[in-house]
Amino acid sequence: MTTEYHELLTLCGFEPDEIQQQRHRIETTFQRLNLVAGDMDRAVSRLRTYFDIELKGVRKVLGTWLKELIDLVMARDEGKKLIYYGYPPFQYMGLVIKKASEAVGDFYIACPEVILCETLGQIFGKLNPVLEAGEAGGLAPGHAMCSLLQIKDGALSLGFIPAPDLSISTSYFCDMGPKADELMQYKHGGYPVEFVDSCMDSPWGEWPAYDPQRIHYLGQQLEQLFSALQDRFGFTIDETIWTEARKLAGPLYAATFRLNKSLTADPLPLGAADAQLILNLPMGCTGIALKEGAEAIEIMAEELEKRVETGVGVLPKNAPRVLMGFPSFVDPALNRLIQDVGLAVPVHTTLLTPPPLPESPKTYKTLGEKRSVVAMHGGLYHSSFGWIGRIKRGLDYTDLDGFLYTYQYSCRPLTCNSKLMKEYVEKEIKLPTLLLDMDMYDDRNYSAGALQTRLEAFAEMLKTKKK
Amino acid sequence: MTSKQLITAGIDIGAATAKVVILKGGKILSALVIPTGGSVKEASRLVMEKALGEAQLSLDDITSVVATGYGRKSVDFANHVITEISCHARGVNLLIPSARSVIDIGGQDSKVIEVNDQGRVVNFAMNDKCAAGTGRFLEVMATVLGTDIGEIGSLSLQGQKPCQISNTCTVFAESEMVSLRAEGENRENILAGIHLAMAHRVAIMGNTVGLKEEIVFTGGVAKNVGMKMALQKRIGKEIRVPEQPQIIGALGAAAIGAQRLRA
Amino acid sequence: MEPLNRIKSLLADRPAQLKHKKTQDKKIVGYIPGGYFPEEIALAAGAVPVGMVRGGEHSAVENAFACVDHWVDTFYRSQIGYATSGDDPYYNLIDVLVVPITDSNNRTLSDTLSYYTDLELFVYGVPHTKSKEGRDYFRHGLAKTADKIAGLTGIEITGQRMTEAIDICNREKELLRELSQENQSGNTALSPKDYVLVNQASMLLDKGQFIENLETLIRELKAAKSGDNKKPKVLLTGSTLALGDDKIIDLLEEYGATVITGEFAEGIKPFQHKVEPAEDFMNALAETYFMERVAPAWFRPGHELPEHLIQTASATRVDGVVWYQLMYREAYKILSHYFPEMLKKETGLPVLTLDSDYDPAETGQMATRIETYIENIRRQP
Repeated sequence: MTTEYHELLTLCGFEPDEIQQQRHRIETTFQRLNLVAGDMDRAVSRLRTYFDIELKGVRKVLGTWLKELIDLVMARDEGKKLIYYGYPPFQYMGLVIKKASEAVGDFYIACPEVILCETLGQIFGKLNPVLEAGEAGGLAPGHAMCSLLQIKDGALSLGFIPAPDLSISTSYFCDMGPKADELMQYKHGGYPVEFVDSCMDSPWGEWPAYDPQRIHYLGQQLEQLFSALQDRFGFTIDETIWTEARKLAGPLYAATFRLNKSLTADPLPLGAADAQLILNLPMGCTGIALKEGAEAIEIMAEELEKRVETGVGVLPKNAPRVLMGFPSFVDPALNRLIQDVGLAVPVHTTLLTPPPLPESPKTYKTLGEKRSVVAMHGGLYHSSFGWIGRIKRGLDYTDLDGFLYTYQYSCRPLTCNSKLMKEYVEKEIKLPTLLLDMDMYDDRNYSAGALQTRLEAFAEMLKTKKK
Repeated sequence: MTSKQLITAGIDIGAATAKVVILKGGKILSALVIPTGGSVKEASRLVMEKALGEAQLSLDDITSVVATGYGRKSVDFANHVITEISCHARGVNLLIPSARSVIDIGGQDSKVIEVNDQGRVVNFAMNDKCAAGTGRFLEVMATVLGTDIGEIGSLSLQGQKPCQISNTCTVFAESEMVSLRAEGENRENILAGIHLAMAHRVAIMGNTVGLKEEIVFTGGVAKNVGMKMALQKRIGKEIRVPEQPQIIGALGAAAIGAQRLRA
Repeated sequence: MEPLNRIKSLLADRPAQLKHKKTQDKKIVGYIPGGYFPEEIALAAGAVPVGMVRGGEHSAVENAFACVDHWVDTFYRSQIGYATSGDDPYYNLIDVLVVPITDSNNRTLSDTLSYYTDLELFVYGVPHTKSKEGRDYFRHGLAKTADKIAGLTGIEITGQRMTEAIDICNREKELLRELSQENQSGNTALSPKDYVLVNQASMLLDKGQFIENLETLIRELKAAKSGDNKKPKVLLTGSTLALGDDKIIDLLEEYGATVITGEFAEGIKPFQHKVEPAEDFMNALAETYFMERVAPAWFRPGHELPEHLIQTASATRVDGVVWYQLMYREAYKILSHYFPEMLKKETGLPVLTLDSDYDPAETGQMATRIETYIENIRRQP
C-alpha cells in the first residue's frame, strides 16, 4: 500500500528515505490498526481542512505523533518492555522512568491513550471503533465514563496496542483510572498495576498552602513506586536521574517556550487546533517526541516569529483573546471552530506557569516528597481551589478579554468545580466566561451545532465589549 | 441617505419557524412567520419573499440583511450572520429598554440571557444536549395527549391539581404521560404538571445566569400563556411577553443591521 | 411493634429535638454517612452527631443543577440540592459538616458547599489503599477532626469521655449486628424496609433513646414466632442506600422477593467491627473505621469488596444479588461489569444491576427488570 500512505506521510514531514526504511514498521502498524487506503485519503483531507499545514513545523509535529504511534504499536514486536502511565502525569514522571530504564534495557514508556487521541483521533478521525470496544468492555456509555480510559481499554481489547509489563495508575487525582486499570487487568491477562495513592482533601481556600502530612503520604507513595520499579525491572530513580531526565526534556520545553512567546503577538499567528498538537508531546511521550518533537516545534517557532515580524495572523488584529480550558485531543474541527468564530487563544490552562514555591522542597527529605511539593503547587493536583487559583493567576497576568472554559464533562475532577469556576472568575476577576462542556477524547459526545451557537454568541459578546 | 431612510431586514431561521422583520428607521414595515419545514434554504427564500411582498419592496431596497437562528448559515442572501442570543438581546432592548433578562424558548433551544441597557449580552446560558425545556418537548407532549399545540397553554391553566411530572427528558416524560393517562389522570392536570416541570428546568438554568428584573419572555413558546404563568410561579417574579414574541430574534437582527450601517 | 413505631416517631421529631438542643448550646455535627466518620469523636466532645443520610428525591437532584454538573454521583448532587435549598431541616441546624473525602464525588460536595453556602465544612482524606501509611494518614485526619470539634464545643476530649463514647457506639454496633442477623435470616417480622430505616436512624437519633428502643425491638423480634419463608431471597448491595430511597426495596418486595441488605458505600452504617480499647484512641478508631471497614469499590487493589460480597452471599444462602448503584459513581459502575462473572464463578448466583438517578421516570423499566429477574430466580431448580 506504499502509494496509499505516501501522500499522508509526506504531508506529515516524513522524508522519502525514511518512508522507505520504515516501510515494514509503517505497514504493520497501519494493518494492525485497520487503517486502509480510504483512511489515508480522509486523513490527508482532514489535515488540509483543519491544520495550518502551510507551516512546516505543524507538518513535522504531526509526523512526530505518527512516529510515536508506530513505536507504540511495534514496541512488543521489537522486544521492548512496556510501561504505561495515566493522564495527566506528574511533570517529568514518564521521562524520569525512561531515563532510569536506559541503564537496564530497551523500554517503551508512554501514555498510550494520548498517542491514540492525537493520531487515530486528530489525524485519522477513526477512534470510534476503539471507543466502542472500550464501551463494550465495561466502561459503559451513558454513564460519563472517561473516554480516554475507554480508548486505552478498547485499544487493548482490539489488539491495537500491546498489554504492558506494568501500568502505573496515579490515583491521587482521578478515581476512575485505577478502577479502569483493574478492569483491564482482569480482562487482559492480569498485567501488573502499581497504584500511587493520595487524597484530594484540602479545604477550600488553602492553596497554595498544604498540610505537610499530605506531602508525606504522597511522597511515600512515590517512593513506593520507585522501589517497585527497582524490584521489578532493576533500575533506580534518584535525584541524579531526575536532573538528567529534565535535561532530556530540555529542548522540548525550550522550543515550546520560544513558540509561546509568539503567541502573545497581535494578530495571533497560530490557531487553537495547531497549538493543541504540541501540548501533549511532553505529557504523553518519552521517546522520539523528545528529539524530533523539539526540532519540529523549533521550526514552528521560527515560522511564527516570521509571521509576527511581518504582521501575519490567523485572525484579524484586535480579535478577542481568551484563555482556553482544554482543547479537544481528538477533534480538530472543534479546535478550529474557536478560531473560525474569531477567538484568539494565546494560552491554554495547561500551559500556565504555577506560582513560585513558597518553601524550598529541600526541607523534605525524600525525592518523592520533593516532587509532591512541586505537584501540589501546580494547583490541579492540590484541590479545586488550587486549580481555580492557578487559573486566576493566569487571568490576572495576561491581557485577556474572556475565559473559554472548555472541559471534559466525564472527568469527575474537572466537572466537580466547573460551574463554580465560571461564577468565581466572573465575580472575582470580572471576566466574561463561557462554560463549554465537551468531550476532549470523543467527538460523538457533543453536538457541534449547539456548541457553535454558544461560541459565536460568546465571540460576539466579547467583540462588542472590546469595541 | 440618512439612517432614518435605511431599510434593513432580520431573518431568523429557527428549528420550527422562519421569521423575517423589515425595519425602517426603527419602524416595523413587515413581520412574517412561516413554518421552517424540510428545507432551510427554501424557507428562508420564501419567508423573505412574502415579507418583501407585504412591505411592497424588493430585495434591492434592503440595505442589509442579517441572518440569525440555527439555520443562519444557510441564508445565502444575508450580509451578516449573528447568533440568536445577541439578536434576542437587541430585539428585546428595542421594545423594552428596561429589560435585564431574556428567557427565550424556541423549538430546539432555550436560553437565558442577561442584557444591559445598550441591548448587549452580558451573560447567557443555554440548555444542554437534550430537548428538555424546549418547544419540541411541548410539541411531543401535546401529541402524546392528543392536544393541539396552540391550546396546551390555556388548557394547563384549567388544571386544578397539577400532576407531579418528574422528567423533562422527552423520552422519559413521554412514558410518564402514558402511565398518568392510564391511571385516569385528567389532561388539564397533566398539562399543568408539564408546564411547571419545564418552568422548573428553565428557572434552574436561569439561576446560573441570575434572573434580574425586568424579565422578558421571547420565542415561539412565549405565546403559550400557560408557560408564562408557570415561569412566573416558579421564579416568583413578574414576566413580560412582547406582543409578537416569536419575531424578537428577527427584529434584533434587523436592528443590529441598522446599527452596523450607522457605525 | 411498638419500639419500631417509637423509632419512627423519634425520627419525625428529631429536627425539633435538635432545634431545642441548639437553644441549650449543644453543637450539632453533620457528617457524610460513608462509615468514615467515627461518631465517637463527636460524642466525646459533647456534640451531637447527625448523618446527612436523606436521599431519593428527584427535586433535590434537579435543584443542584444550578451549581453543579449532572455528571456527579446522585446522592452527592442531592446533598447539594438540600444544602443550597435553604429549607432543609438538618442542613439548617448543623454547626459544621464533616466530609471524609473518599473520591471526586464527595469532594464535589465539599467544594460546592464551601463556595455556595455559609455552612462550615471540615474535610479530611480517606486514602484508597489499606497500608500502614494510609492508616496513619487517616488517623491524622481523625485527630484534626477531634481538635476541630473539641474547639467548637469547648469540651476537651479526655480519656474517660472517649472511653464512654466508644462503649456507647460499641453497644450500638453490637445491636445493629444482631438486627442484621434477623434481616439476614430472611425470616423475621421486621420488614426489609424497616430494617434499613432502623440502621439509618442510628445516624440521626439520640444515642440513648435509640439504643433503648433497639434493645426492646430485638427482644420482641426474637420472641416473635416467624413463619416459613418460601420467597426467593436476594442480597441488596451497591453504592448508596439513602433514607427515603425506598423504591428499590419496594419493587423487590412487590415482585415477591425477600430482601436482605448488605454492604453499601454510603447510607448503611457499618457495624461489623467494634473499637477495641487501646492507649491511643485515634489509632483504635483508625483501625476499626479504616482498616477493618469493608473497602468500598474505589479502594485499590479492589478485591476486598467483591470477596466480601461473595462470602456474604454464600453465608446467607441467597438466591441472587441485586446491585443497586447511583448514576455516575464510576468505581461501582466499573466493578458492576466484572463482579457478576466473579460471583457466578464462585457461587453460581445471578446478579441484577440497576442504576438510579432518583428519577421516578426510571421506575417502570426498573420494575420490568426486577420482575423478570425474580421470575428467572423462581425458575431455577
